[in-house]
Amino acid sequence: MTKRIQLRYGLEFSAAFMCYAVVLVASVKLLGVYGNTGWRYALALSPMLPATAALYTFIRFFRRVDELEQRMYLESFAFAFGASGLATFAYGFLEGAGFPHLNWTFVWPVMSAFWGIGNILAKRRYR
Amino acid sequence: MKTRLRVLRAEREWSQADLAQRLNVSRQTINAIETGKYDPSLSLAFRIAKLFSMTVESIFLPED
Repeated sequence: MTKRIQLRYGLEFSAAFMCYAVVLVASVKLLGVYGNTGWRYALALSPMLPATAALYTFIRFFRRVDELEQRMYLESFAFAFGASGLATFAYGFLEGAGFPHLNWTFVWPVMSAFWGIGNILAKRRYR
Repeated sequence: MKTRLRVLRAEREWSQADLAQRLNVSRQTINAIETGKYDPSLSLAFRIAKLFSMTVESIFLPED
């Protein structure tokens, strides 16, 4: 059952991610042409539509996995939430001490990295 | 929580994967229940009891 669920999620997420990549490339190119028009904000945000679809595929996956897997994901999210908060605040303090300012798009990779660590810790706990 | 799940499974010569498939959960869940690392939800406990034709209390025992 788990393999089937993971395979289905893999296919759904991959499709959403490919749409995201295509829309991202297109939006960057179109911003080069229409960047000074009223369309610039819509173009800049357009990759968020397939990104939202990718989020939806994850929520569907989460609802399909069994109760222990759900608990492990929730524990890893809790860890990632807290650790990301600490890390981003710490870097904010370091910026005040002279570190270079970072773009907000760095937050997601930081959260993902902590989620990965949280996943390892959660799986180890229930092994 | 203590459990007799491993013994009951062995009596029927089922692997953890067999039991997991019958209960529609992952093999990891069965292993975690048998090793006492995870207490199943009420609905899963009842499904386990129904599968073995036993009561929940006869399969799962409080720690003390």
